[in-house]
Amino acid sequence: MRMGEFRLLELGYMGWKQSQLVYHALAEMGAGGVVLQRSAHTYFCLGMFSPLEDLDLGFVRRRGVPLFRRAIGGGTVLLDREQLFYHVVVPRDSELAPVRTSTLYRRFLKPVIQTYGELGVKATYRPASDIVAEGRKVSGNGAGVVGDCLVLSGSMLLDFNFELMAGALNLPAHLRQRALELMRERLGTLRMMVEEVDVHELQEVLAGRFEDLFGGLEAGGLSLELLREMRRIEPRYTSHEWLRQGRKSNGLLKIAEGCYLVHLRLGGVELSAELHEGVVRRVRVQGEEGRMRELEDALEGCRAERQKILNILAERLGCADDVVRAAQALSGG
Amino acid sequence: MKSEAEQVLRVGDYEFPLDRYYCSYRNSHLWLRMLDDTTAEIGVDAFLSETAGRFSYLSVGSERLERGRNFATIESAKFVSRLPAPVSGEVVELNAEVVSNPSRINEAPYHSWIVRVRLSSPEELEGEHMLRDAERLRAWIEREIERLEEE
Repeated sequence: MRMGEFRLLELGYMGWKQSQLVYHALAEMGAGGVVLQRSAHTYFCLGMFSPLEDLDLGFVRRRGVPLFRRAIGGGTVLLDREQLFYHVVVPRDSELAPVRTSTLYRRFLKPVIQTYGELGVKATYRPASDIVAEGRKVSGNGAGVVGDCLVLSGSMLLDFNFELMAGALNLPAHLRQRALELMRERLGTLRMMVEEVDVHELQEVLAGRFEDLFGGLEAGGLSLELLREMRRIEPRYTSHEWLRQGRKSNGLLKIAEGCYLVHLRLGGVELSAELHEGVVRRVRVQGEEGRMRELEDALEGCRAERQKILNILAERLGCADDVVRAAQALSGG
Repeated sequence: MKSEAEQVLRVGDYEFPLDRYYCSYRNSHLWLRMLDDTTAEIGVDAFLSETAGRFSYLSVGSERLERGRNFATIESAKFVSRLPAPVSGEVVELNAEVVSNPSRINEAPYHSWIVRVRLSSPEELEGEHMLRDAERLRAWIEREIERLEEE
């Protein structure tokens, strides 16, 4: 890869919308590069398919936290000043553009993993798109095709507002509390793992590792052309219709790879559970006439295998569509 | 002698039934099988199905397809791809089962059509990116496998 083909844009703090529009615009322009920046504001960023209904919109509105739906994958994330964002944009016809999705993550997350390593944090890639260290997820990532480019976007957590993230989940209070506990157990920030973090040094190391990967990056900035493209695409990405799209909730909330919270209503039955590394735990089933303990016992400790779970549910609840959906959620989607 | 429906091209670990077209436009890896003179079904081939990972979400965004324009969005492994229409036409049927459970594509790519389309310009089937001839198809897939091996 020749120097100059790809640019390094170190943009500092940007507004919440701009922090997302910038890499969408680069990709729409077909311009390859790496963007490192931070958001001046706190906002929720939904993946292309993330259900809006997974968020408590009343809470989000009251707290004045804006929402943005990105055009790439992954779930809903809380983004704020305490994260260093990296966005990698690579034209699909570039030699660096992989065919296999798993290669994309391995290749473009390598500089991030190396950066953790230089801070003394032994981080590894965990498929599909997480980086983990000390048993905790330290970086979540999403990717996709925008225009004629491959895009990967993620962040390194310096700190994380666990309370705000959990508070915004559209769950009953006791499950929100549990989500908070699980997040504290399963997510890791640099402030938890490193005595002192200098963000400028961190960014310098990360930029250096990306330069190694690309064989050099030409320093760039917010050019007039890029600003024009951001303005051009802004109405589309900030429209009501764009935000409102997304799939229906499947009752599955991902905390980290291998760790999910399940909450579903099946007619008059309310079911909650956790999935830990493919095993169903902490099952609670509340029927109209009280706890359904026999069903809870049958599901507890079960491998998260769809057919097995469907058989257990169908035997006790019948085989309606919502039971099939429940089996899907309890088997990890 | 096998009928057309039974003939399968094998390239590396991938299989390609020869009763349909394969679209190489932007390496989209879509197949198109004619059901009658004007109606075709469209799906994802075995190569994309394997290299993308397990498909988790799929949405079809338009009732009219315009060749080269994205008509569907699909997610696998937190990666969102957009599927460019191999031909122009009107969607006459959506495979609701595949839309609600897109991992069916991974399990059986050639039995998991996404949309059925009434073609508005059947001559598009003669386009350079619509591969039906086994040798041209083999050459394209071999190039794709070469790219994979370089990774």
